[in-house]
Amino acid sequence: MGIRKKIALGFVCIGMLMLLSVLISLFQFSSLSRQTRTILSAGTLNVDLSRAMSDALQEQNAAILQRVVSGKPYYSEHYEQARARFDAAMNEATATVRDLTQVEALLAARDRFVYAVDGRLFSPHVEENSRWYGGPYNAVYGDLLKAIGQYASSNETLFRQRAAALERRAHNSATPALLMMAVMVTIIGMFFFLLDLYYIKPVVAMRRALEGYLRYKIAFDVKMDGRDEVYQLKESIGDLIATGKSKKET
Amino acid sequence: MRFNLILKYIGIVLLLDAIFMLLSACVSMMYYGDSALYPLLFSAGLTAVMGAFPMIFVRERSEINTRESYVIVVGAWLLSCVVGMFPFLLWGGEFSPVNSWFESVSGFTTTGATTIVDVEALPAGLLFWRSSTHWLGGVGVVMFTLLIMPSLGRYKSSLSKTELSPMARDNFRYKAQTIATILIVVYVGMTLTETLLLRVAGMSWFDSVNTAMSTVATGGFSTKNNSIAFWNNAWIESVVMMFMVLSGIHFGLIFGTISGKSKNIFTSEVSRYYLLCIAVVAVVIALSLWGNHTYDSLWSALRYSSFQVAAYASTSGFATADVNLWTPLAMVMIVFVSIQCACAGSTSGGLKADRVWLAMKTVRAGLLRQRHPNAVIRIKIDNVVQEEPLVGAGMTFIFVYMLLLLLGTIVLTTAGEDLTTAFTATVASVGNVGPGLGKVGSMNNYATLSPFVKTFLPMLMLLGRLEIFGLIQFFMLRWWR
Repeated sequence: MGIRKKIALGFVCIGMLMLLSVLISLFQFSSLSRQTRTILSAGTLNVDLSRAMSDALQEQNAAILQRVVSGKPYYSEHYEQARARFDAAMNEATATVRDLTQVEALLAARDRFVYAVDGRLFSPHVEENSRWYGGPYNAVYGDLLKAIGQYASSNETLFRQRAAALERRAHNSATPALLMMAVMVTIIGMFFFLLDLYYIKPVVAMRRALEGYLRYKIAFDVKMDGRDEVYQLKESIGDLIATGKSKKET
Repeated sequence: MRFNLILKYIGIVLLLDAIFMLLSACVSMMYYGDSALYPLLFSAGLTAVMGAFPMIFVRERSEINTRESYVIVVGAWLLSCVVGMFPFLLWGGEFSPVNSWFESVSGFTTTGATTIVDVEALPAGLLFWRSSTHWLGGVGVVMFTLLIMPSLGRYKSSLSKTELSPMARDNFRYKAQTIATILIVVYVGMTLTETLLLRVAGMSWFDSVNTAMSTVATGGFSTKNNSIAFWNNAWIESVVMMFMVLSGIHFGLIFGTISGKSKNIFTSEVSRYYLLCIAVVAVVIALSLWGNHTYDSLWSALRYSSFQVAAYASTSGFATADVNLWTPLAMVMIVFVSIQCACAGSTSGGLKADRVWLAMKTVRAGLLRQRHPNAVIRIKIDNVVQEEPLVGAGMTFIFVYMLLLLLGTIVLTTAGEDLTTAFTATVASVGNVGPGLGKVGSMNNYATLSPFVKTFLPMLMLLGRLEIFGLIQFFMLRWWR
């Protein structure tokens, strides 16, 4: 193999490592950023749904309060709309959650609330309705509100777990690139050493030997390991000197 | 010192490591591309590039002198340990940089100590790579390359001087290449035979191969958290025990026994001493455990004591019982066999039975000299006179070994470990045994130790594997001139 090929191969090795390092870093970091986005969007969705459920519940509560005070036997349209909004948010939370235990308490509290409200036959007496409102209703309402709060905070624990997973992922993303950099530094070191040994040192030695021959007629004797172009150059110089000598003699 | 040649030969060793990483990746693929596939392939690529790079430039074939051979051997060990970390580091999980370094050094030095709490959670490819580090380390990365490096020609002997224990060389006067061939034939043969026997005894193919690789290398990495105790099978224990004991004997003697030569396991003083030592210690421990009602019957006590004694004496370090629960006498005996270990010329580490036998003969000769001051008393092993320099070197080694144990214990106690853990972890690391007592007992691991200790112990493992002086000389600045 000639010098050109050897050096080209050396550079190709380094180049390939650099390219691979960049590609792996890009792949790993894009995957990391995707994962981060997923976690953040999951967190945002959780907060939005909790707020929607909480708002819808407040509106339902206001409608029920109106009915308790007025003693009307039917719910207002306002209540039905609020309930539909609550159910929609609730369904979305159930559909998007990864771990169903997160919404189990919420579903149970919602069922108790619906059972208590729908099963109530309101009397025309406000006092009787108020007793219901302040007693059984208040308990299920409080439970549901608490369950919404728990659902909102449940993501905090999940967030912590996901953040730890993200940290591990970040470590795993950086490791291949770091390893590749370390290998590349080692190869660059070897490359420099071998170039110096096989090409720079022999050329310097040849120059010195040639100078020695031209100035002081010291024999041109350079020792070399390889059998490549530099060696052939040395041989050619040796031949040239020998030819010059023989011409002088004749 | 010709670093170009050194780089070339270390590169060949790295290529061999890369081949085994690829083999592990194949195992990973057999297990439907488990999570170790990408780390193993990536590591194989990096290691192969590093190993092949010097070969682009270095073409010449020339003589290697002793110094260069030392640098090649030590450099190959160190670099193999470094690249051996790559699959662990890339896989992540319990493998922090410190744990990866510990695991890799423990693998290549055939120590078998681990920092991994849940070994069974590791993917098949990574488990195979762990066992491969043992197998590669056991035969000696350099010994391995001697057979596949035809370019070395007649200069092979300079490399084997550093790889084979000096005692083994002098005890067994074969040519270097013959030693290498014998080593490989016995090594591969034993691995295949044990794999088959373990399969017949009831292990799966995967566990059989891994356990055989670990046993023959006198390593100790297992595919199960409870090591061999997981199977609770007397046949499996018997097979593993037999191969642990055999792997602790000079491979040339095993070859001699199989090929019907006069010099064999039964005629060699050292191997007879080693086998007798295991038998006596196992019986004493069994009696002690039976007397103390640790086990219900004498048979059970003998079953567990003989396995553990074989595991510690051969430096394999497998486990079927928790030695921490044994009697103080049993523990002391276990520490004794952990320090003495097995025979030179095997893959085991430690002080070696040869040196202990030589020391006993030297003491006897010393006593005789006192009684007969004018007598010419020569120390002979297997009817071969042991020259004074060899005896001196043996005694110096024992002294330095003991000094190292003391130093290690001091460092570990300074780092906050209790005396039992500190002393036995040092003994287990320098001797490449694996388990010790206390926190690092046979049923425990090194996970609970501090990162400092986990970084320090691999150095002791390397010192022990390279017969102490090999590594010390490598780092002596004057030596590099």
